[in-house]
Amino acid sequence: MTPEALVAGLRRDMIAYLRRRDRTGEVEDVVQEAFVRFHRAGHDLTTPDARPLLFVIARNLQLDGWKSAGREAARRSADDIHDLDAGPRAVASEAPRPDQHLIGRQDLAAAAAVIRALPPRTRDAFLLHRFGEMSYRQIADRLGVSVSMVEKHIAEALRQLKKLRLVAEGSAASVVVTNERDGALPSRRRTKE
Amino acid sequence: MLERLIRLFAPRPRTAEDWLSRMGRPGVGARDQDAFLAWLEADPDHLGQYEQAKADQAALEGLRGAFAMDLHRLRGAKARRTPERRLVVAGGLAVAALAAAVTIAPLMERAPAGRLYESAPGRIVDVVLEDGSKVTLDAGSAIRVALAEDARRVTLERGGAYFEVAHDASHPFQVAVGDRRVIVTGTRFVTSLTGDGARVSLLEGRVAVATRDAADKRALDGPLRLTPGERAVFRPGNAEIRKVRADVEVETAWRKRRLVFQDAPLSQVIAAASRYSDRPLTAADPRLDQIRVTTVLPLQGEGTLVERMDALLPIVSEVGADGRVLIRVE
Repeated sequence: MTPEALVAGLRRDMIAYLRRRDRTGEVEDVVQEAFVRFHRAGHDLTTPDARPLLFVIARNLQLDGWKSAGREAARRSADDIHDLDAGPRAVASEAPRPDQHLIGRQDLAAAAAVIRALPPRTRDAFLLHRFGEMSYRQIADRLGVSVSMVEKHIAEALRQLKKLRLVAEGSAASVVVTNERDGALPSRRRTKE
Repeated sequence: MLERLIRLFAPRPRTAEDWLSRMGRPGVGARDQDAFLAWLEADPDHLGQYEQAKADQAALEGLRGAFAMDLHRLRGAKARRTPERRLVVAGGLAVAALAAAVTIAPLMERAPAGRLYESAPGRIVDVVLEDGSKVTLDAGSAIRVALAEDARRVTLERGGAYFEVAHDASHPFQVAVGDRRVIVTGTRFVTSLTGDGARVSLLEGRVAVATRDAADKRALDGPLRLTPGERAVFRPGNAEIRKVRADVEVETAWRKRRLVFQDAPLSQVIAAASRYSDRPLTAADPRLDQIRVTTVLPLQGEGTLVERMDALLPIVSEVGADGRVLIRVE
């Protein structure tokens, strides 16, 4: 399916979904805004979670009584003032913004420790999924388990990583001290075998 | 079929992590999507929890290098068909005036030996090997180097590398990529590996592409020979190989820390630049396919790569919640 056809189909279904809840309201703008927020949140239109996520994002906007034009313009102008203060880096910064709970350098090290401490099968399934670009089917074949087990292993790895985030949020200092050096990893590593 | 039956009776995911894992399954159907939507609707916090779990997973990208060896082990754990990869070997200006022979041969399965050199995502790195050969590693690349009595052996594990080989006729210099190898005695060339096939491109000098190890006396029997500006295209595991003309200077501009585009759509510029950015770049606007540009994009300089792109190109950028940079037409 072409991206255009994919978006057109989603848009049509979202409008129908919103109309079921609110027959009177103008839903096209809500749908448009939902797409903007969907992208801004880092989602991908081609993954299977795209459709439910777009629906619920649109529904939340609808429930909030979101209206087009005015609100968005106000939000953007506030951003622009902030950008002028902060200089051009604020517009297209490649450094993490302070309001984002991105995993920083120390947290990455902690996350690596969490992953290494996982039961071997869970760890291997997660590594192949996250860094190996392998499908669950390929991982299942590689590890000699069922696709359902792969799903369970990955959910378990995500649960362990979530615990780490809860700890990190509890101690904000560990999130802040992340940029003493450029990048999370040395750009070059030598390993003598 | 069995898979579907099992899924029918599988417990319904209950947490954001369960759902994130479920959504990664092959063939997630309307049934799962509906159930996921119902879960999202059930509690206003669920969307945020799911997005956070997803952002956490995205943020692990910085650990890719740290787990490279584990992946290597996992991938090599069982006999498996070699994934199709692309190799670009471009012979550069001949350092030694001698004609260089480049041979591509089947790579024997054996434990990796030697010293590993890696470049992080977004970083181009210069390396000088112990024999004096110089290597420039493209962003997110890795080579393994073993200097032995009979030959200097390098394995391109991923990404791309530019080689300036120190001349030493008694110790052939060999680069293995996928199931092939490239053998030279002294020249300059570029190798790279991507998703869908192998390529050898030559800038200057002479190379030959064959199928045997450097130590094999028949290594140079019947190889494909390239002249500057030519590229050999093949797939690992497939005997077919063909020769095409190519603008190899443009293709290998990355080694000079710049990207060159001639009448390319903005979406292609963004895709190429993404591998050199600290944050992944996402083309979030269909119009990016329609606007074509001719530009030289410096990979080093003032500010970030995205700032330089903003200044050069008719685009606007915004950082998404997962750290990706979303790019739209200005």
